Amino acid sequence: MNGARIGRVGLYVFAVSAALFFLIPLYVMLATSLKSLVEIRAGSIFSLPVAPSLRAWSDAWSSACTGIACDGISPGFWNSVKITVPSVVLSVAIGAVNGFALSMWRIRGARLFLGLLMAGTFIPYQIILYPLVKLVSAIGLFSSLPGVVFVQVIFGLPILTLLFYGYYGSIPMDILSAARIDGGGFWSIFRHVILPMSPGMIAVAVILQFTGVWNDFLFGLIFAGRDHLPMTVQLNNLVNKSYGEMEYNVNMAATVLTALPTLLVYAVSGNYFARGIAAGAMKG
Amino acid sequence: MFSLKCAIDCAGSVLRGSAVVASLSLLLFAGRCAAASDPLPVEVIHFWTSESEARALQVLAKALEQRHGRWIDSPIVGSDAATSVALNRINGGDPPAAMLWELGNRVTALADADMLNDMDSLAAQGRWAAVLSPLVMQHAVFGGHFIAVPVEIHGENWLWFNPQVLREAQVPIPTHWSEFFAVGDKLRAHGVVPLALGGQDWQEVMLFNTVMLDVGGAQLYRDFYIRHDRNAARGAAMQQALETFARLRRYVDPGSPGRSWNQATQMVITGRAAMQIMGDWAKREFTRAGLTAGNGFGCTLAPGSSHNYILAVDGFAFPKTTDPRKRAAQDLLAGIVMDPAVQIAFNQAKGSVPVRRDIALADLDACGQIGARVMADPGSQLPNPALALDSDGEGAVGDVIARFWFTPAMSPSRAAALLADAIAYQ
Amino acid sequence: MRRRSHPRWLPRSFAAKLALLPTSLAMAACFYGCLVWTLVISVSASKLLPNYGFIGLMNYRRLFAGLRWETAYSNLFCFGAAFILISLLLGVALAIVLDRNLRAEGLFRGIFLYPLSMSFIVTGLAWQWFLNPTLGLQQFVRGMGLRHFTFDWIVDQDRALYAVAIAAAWHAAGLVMALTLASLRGIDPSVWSATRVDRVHPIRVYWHIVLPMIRPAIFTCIVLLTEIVVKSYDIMIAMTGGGPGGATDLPSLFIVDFSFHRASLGVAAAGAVVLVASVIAALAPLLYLSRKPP
Repeated sequence: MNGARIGRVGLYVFAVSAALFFLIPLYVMLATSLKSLVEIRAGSIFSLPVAPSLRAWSDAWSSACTGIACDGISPGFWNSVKITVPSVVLSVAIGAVNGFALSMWRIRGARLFLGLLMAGTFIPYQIILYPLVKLVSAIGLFSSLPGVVFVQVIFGLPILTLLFYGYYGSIPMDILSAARIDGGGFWSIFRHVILPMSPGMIAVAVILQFTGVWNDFLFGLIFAGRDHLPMTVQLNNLVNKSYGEMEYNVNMAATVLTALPTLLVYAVSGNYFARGIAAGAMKG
Repeated sequence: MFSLKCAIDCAGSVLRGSAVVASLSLLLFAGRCAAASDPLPVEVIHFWTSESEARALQVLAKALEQRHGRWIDSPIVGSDAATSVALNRINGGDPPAAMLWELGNRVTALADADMLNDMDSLAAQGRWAAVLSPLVMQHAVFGGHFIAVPVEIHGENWLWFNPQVLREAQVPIPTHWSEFFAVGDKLRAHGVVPLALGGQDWQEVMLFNTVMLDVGGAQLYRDFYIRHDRNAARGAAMQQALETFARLRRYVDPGSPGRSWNQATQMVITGRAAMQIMGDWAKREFTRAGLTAGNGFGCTLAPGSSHNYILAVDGFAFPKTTDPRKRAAQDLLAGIVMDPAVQIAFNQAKGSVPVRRDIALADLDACGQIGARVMADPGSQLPNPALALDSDGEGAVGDVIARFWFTPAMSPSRAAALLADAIAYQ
Repeated sequence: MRRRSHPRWLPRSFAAKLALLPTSLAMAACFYGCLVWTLVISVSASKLLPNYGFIGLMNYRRLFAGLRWETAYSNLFCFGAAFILISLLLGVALAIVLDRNLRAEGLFRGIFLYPLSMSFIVTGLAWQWFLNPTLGLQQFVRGMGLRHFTFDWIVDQDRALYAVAIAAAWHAAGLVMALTLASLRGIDPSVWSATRVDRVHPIRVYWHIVLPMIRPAIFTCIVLLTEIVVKSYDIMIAMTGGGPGGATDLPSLFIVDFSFHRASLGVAAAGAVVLVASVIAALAPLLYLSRKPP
């Protein structure tokens, strides 16, 4: 039994060390954001703040300079919300419909379609910026909120479609046949039969897409237009300002502020996420 | 098979710095009363986001207001990001009225692609050709048309130093790079970083250019940058310059890679480092910290370049548009920029040199006087890489210098050969 | 679970086809149309803006003759290999550990997953700060007395790439862990009881029995991780900006630089084509191998 105990202890040691590895950068960010600049310059990164203060946080939120305007990154917060919420709703809805159509109905070339979708996700965004800008402006959406939402939805669709495709693939055909016998068509079956069965997967999809869109930088920068710049853009401005001293505490506070919404989403729904992956991820 | 999306998937790309602000441009022309109630909006994309730069832009904004215009600010942090955004705006059919850019290859590329409006009529009216120096004229004009309106001149071969540190270490200011090594050794022994450097391509090139000027003289500089002479690039003088440049590695601290220029200046301000080679925009960092020229900080031309001035010219370019209101806005701004009174106020706020040769700034501090003295002689003016090479060549030279700087194993002859390749397509 | 892939079993619906139309159009235009455009531009004389004059393979020649592409391209493989390897090892190890029914499993899982929620910019900034030789870990350990401790990978030309790989793996290991754990949990418990009866050592169980069973999950992870590698831009820019002397240059940085800052759209497009082709070439055999029999 000694070997087993040692093994057990070893497991815990490994888990705890790994947890430390994962937590240390967060600790450094939080600790630095609570220190004053003097303390940062003098002390070491792991030291606890001597006189923790939230001044850097309030600076980052409302008075740090991001360019000429010195309003902190709070203007970006609402823009990010305005970009993320519609993008998530639309792309999850369309992804679910797509997944349903592909997995439960006879579509010729479905596998090819899926393969092309998958391949499409490998294309780095940078190389298609030019034509994408031309395309979006051709439909009159360039430099606007609908424009950036449009782009985010498009780029989220491949993975979401695949996700729902995998999930719906595990639903037994009998359910579908029964619904059709009852006279249901594509949309009514989707609304009354499939949707009620999908909350787990929807949760996973929402989490993923929310994280992806909230953390996006490039599309927000190029497509959103002057009045709708997301928080990530503000963060970048703040951190890369080209004058004066680098205010590490404000930078770290701004970094955590930007990451907070997605962190919260994960904290609240982490279990959903893991369970959802278990349910849907391994199909196909 | 793959049914899980990476949260990372849509994270997008980080273009350095950025805060695009697209805006409308209203136009109002002075004297026109037709739509007299609305001031003419002039939207300008720029990357001048520090306080002193903002103050200088305020000068322009005020002048605009006096002539019934309205300045609409579209600041973007970082010149690279500003380029990308402006290009995409033009591409997307929503160009700003004006873009503030460094004159040189970027503007020329736009003019070459026929994306800029010209200011020929205004130029003829204001007789700009008479008041701009030949070097500036060369880059404000493309294919015979005035495609950019210069607003200020910066010098790139300056040496900034902390006088107290030099005093304490009992070292003189080096007048040639050959003298620098002894000075540097003493500074190192004193516990100070001799040369503060930000490890970015353009900063290394800036440093290298001063070494090139010192070792090979203006002749080598002109041969390489202006005449694109590949033999000069490969030659002995260049190799010697590279060798001298390589010796400077010892005098830079190990944390320099990736450091931005203003952080390097902070090192000099706080006394952690003794000297920095940087353009004259560094002055505002010192003044921002409450120091005065001669007192808290010192300025002089870089070792070996006391008779030459490597210029960087900033100005406005105007994207092509047929919208009459935007066109009027562009004319309004162009006229203001070249106005002598505005030039004086602007350059005083910014700490740069006016582009008009026929005006003189009063109340120049010690550094400003040095700049004015050197600028007085057009023969001493040299173009910086942005002016002399196209974007590709400028980038290629930066690649080579940066690579050489970080690769002790690379020999000067190999680096010289690579430099020759870098300017091969000019 | 048998895949419902045999078309004979599925009902027809025009509505279904219609529902897929918007997505198909968008894919065709945004992904593949743009890709074709990139291909066209790569053989054109485009500089700052697209110019449709055909110049053959000139851009490709310039691409391969230049200093940067060689480094950027080889960095892709070095970085990719390091990142994928570390993420896989770490993720699978964590999944195996968590599968052993630890206490506070939920807490551990949360800790391993949370980096996934942070953007790459945030990850890059935090790690850059952490790895800074004068302010970060190196300074800390030296301050504790070990005066000669060095961990300046991030400013070291030869090692900066691996520093970034570690930061990226910190971010992505949770994903590997989640996928692998799900797969492990899907293994029939009778396998475990059988091995217990036979008294097979756990390590051998894992190596010879379990790992082969979770092969599909591993393949999925490799594909997803490859996607991240190909798209890495933010993290490189945030951590090193391309690195000491181009040591952490990547094709994605190259493409952005050449498209916008160096007014060489043609060369950038050529680089993009080579990049996409390489990815397809690298992944195609993998995809083929990992196909489950229908």
